[in-house]
Amino acid sequence: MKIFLNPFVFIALIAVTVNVMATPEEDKKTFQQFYSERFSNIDLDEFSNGVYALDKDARSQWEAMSDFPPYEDALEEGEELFNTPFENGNHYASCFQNDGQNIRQNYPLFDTQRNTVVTLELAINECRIHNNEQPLPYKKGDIAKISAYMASTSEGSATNVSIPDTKEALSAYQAGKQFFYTKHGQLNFSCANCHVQYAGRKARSETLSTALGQTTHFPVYRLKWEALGTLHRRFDSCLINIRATPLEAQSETYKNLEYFLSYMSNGLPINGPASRK
Amino acid sequence: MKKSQLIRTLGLVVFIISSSVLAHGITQSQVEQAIATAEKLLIQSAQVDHQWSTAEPLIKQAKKALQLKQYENAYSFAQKASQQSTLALKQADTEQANWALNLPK
Repeated sequence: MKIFLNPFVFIALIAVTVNVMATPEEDKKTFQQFYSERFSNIDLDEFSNGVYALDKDARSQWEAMSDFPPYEDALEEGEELFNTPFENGNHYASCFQNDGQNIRQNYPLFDTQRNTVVTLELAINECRIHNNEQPLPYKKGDIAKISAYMASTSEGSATNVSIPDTKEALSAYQAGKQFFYTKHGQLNFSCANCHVQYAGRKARSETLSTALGQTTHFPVYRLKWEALGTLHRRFDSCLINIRATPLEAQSETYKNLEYFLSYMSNGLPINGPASRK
Repeated sequence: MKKSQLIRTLGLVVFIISSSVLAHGITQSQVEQAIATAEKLLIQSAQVDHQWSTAEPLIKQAKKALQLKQYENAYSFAQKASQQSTLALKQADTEQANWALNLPK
């Protein structure tokens, strides 16, 4: 018990407790402020460019590649898929607000009827099921192309994820937050270890990106994948790197993690799809 | 070969086989039990979203060694798999209390 009488330990415990109990808005403020202070020479919107906001050399290569982006064909296919009617004659547009245009920034959203987080990819598949079509595999392929096209219609719109004032929505957000800060895998790393504490530093030859802005540019074309992939596919890669077993795409855990991460990037412009190493 | 020589040879073979099992004390059923324990722990770690990717390949190796009747190896792999999942569960438990220490200050 003596340790708790130490004033420094006592103050640290209070600080941690305050952070755990913070509202999403307070979390977001602390989160964005943390990066603004650590990278004081970088504008907030620039964090949407991920690692290319931090690494000048990598950025010049990336900008050169952006003249002919490797996802261009996939993006066109995505538009075609989006506009191709289902067998019943309906389109994807019929399932979404504003005909599916310029809505990426609002996802993931919390469905208060079902009390679950709905990601854009989940909504795409639910639209298919609603129209008597088979759902698509979640991590890559057509779903990433359709999602990429929808993201492209939101280019420049500020991320605007909302958390309804319900116990369930807050609980989903908290679960995502806890997963983000919890250590996993044999290497005993949390997402935050790399993308908060060590953001901007090197892991082998690669610069670690900031968690702020990570959700704005998905789906991404990774040179390693040679294709577009969804955010949940990227979560898999991170977990594999720390020797943890990846989870199911669109599992509650991944959806909640996406919910938390997207909320942290509220206000940052959507700039997906994008290319990454 | 004389009858007595045959009996001696057979006895030697039986002795070598039995001593290789008894010396290490590992039987097939013990290996099967060890694999079952490892699988149970793997499921438990997955249920709390803390499965380590190192555990499942060890179980596969244990099963393969069991098929080849390499009981000692199989047992060792299963034990290692259990150890990995036990650590994963311990990690899950510890992090329940400590995750907030990673919050940005």
